[in-house]
Amino acid sequence: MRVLIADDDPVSRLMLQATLRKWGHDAVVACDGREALSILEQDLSPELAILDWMMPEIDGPEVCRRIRQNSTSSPVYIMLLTAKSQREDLIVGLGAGADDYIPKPFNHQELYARLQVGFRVADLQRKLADRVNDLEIALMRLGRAQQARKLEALGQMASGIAHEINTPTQYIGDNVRFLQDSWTELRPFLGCQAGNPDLDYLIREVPKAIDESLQGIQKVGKIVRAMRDFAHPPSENKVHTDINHAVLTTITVATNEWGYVADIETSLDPQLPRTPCFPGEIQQVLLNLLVNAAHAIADTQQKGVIRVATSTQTDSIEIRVSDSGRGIPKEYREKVFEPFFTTKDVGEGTGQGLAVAYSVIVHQHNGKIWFDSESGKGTTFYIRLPIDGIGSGKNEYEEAHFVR
Amino acid sequence: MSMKKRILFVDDDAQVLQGLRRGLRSMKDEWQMEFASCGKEALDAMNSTPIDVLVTDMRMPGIDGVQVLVEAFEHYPQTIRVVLSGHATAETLFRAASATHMILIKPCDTELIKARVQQMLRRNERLRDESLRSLVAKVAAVPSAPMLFLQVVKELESENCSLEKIAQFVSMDMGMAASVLHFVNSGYFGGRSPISSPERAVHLLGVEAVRDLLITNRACSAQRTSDFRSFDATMVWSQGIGASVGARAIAYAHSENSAMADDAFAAGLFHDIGQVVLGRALGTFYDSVVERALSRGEPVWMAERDVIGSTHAEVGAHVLGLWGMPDAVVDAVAFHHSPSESGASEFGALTALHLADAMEEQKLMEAQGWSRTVDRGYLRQLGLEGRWEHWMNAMSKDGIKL
Repeated sequence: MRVLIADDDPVSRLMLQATLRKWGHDAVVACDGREALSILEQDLSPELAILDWMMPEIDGPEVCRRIRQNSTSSPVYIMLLTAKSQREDLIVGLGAGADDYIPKPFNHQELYARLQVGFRVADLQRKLADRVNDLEIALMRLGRAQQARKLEALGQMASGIAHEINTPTQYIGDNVRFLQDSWTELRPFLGCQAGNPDLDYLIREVPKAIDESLQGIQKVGKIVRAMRDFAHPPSENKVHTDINHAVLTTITVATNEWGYVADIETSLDPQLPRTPCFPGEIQQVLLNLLVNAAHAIADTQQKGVIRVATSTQTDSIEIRVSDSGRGIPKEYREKVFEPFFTTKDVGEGTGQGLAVAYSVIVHQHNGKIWFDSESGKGTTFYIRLPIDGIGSGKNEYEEAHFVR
Repeated sequence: MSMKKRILFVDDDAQVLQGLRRGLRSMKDEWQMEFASCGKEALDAMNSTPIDVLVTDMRMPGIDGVQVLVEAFEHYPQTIRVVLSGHATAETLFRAASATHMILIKPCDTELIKARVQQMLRRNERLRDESLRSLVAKVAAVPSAPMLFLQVVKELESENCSLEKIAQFVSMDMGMAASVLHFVNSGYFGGRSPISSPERAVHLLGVEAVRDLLITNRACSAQRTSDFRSFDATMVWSQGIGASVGARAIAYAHSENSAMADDAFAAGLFHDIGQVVLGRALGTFYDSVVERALSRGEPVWMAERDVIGSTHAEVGAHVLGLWGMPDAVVDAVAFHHSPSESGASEFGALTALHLADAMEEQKLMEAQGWSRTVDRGYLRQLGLEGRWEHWMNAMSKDGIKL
């Protein structure tokens, strides 16, 4: 056990240290309250502290108080050592946060017995802390696994639905083509019955109905493909991903979000190399940025533009998402990546979108994410992902734009 | 008038088959369409009468699409084999990769089905001799140079494997390059236009897919010494690399058009692939043809034309066409010995390949001035006759750079 002895009297300090060492403990000493505090705030701090009541500047009870107030310091069993034996003093000491107290001059056997109590409690405390820690980690893992399972189930469902839709779409399309061909063959037999308004109408409208049906089928096909690509099962390892494809897929999937408020313009680098990443996560980030961009534009009450561009940099690829919205107000700019930060009304936004984006890009991919924003003009988010999948691991824009 | 083509559609969904029957009705004068509602029925139909084109779904109860494709490849290799699927996983497509000419993803417009199938049929008829065609059809892929194949395997297995390096090795090897281009151009990535750069194909596929395709599913394997006997196989590979780099340099020196340079590179890499295919298809008989050419001191392609009836250039173009290569590459390979027969009147991948090939030979013979194999009439027609030295320089410059 590591034990701290704090006493301004060198003789009793040394005697105590010698006694504890004889009993096999690792005893460190402090000659006043300040030193005691600094030792107790270190990593691997002692598990048990014996503090003299009377010390200059910071006395024993004050050390107790400060230690108990500081939530980050690790648990320590504190015994106050004092010549005072008044009942009132005992109450003050325990009230300050001490666990036990030993009257001076101490009896060796009593000290030994009380130390055993202290060690037992300290040991339990440590075990408890470890257990809590384990539980927290397990809880986090459980949460992630649950999320992954949910995504996987969703992915399976989406790809199942895609299959279910693709098959009928195939024969709907084939049958409409058949109607188109048949109409062309039948048309001459209808002759020229000029003046029959019903027939004129049909002759005019049937081909249009067929064309529009074919267009609709094409659209369904595109949406289903995007849905299937988007709901790809989550991968355990990074995969070399066509980011342009991920961008287009996400745009299609998010059509419902931006379609009514903005047009999308894309400028995708055809030479963009495949980039190692977790595609599902990257698509989630893109989706969050698109949704934010659409909301920023919706706030302006007029139709705007979202521009999405990709480009190849020296050792990374860059994705830019710009909107023509109102821009992020200056006072919020440092906070946008903070979890739970939201300017939306209660129930509208969770304030997790950009925090998740930050965590995915910076922590999972060693990439970078930052933004430029101009009030009244709009905001551009920049993402960079290392082409080698390793990256420097440093977000050099971190300090410049916001504080985590 | 040619006979109607027999096309067999296989799908477990009756409405899909009905839809195809109706939607493709406009082809009734050219195609005789048949329909099978399961794998077993498809195999029976193929066994009773040979078919020209097989169009199959992948996920079917019982005998699935992969099995139908593989059976068709083994027993009726000359059949054009097409996947039409809405839910094919990458794994199943990789498994059937060397038995598949083309992948169409549901929903697929009948106009596209018509166009793609007709294109394949045209490409298949490039080689007129039907018996040679069926022999050649058994060759699903060409082997790769063992050294390069090993390098790729090693790279794929390494902890921090680099796609760049894999792309480099694959680009130098006609076997692996043909396999990745074949798969990428088959339609796996949707209806994009075909590409000719093996490097780009590797990047499109990514590490995992390259591994699945080349290693796990053995779409390509390292060449064994027993693959070839009398003609020096390593020559074909090294000349392929020489011609590819040379043709790209010449194309690039002519105009800085990277698409044409890519085509020229692929044309160079694959220009003698027909020799490998003929070697595999005909075995010792092809050796005797090569020996005949050597003993008479005439080009191999002349002996091939006299004895087999078709040259390795024609055979090469035929298989490259079936593997979905862009037309520019296929034509360049087909006419690289006699470019004036192509009818092309503009500089293209063919021009670059013809020049690079002639110059390679020139180097081999250590001869000066005009190569005896170069088609001067063709160069005159293109107005390029005075440029020989210029191309020589372009090629040697690039040679030094590499």
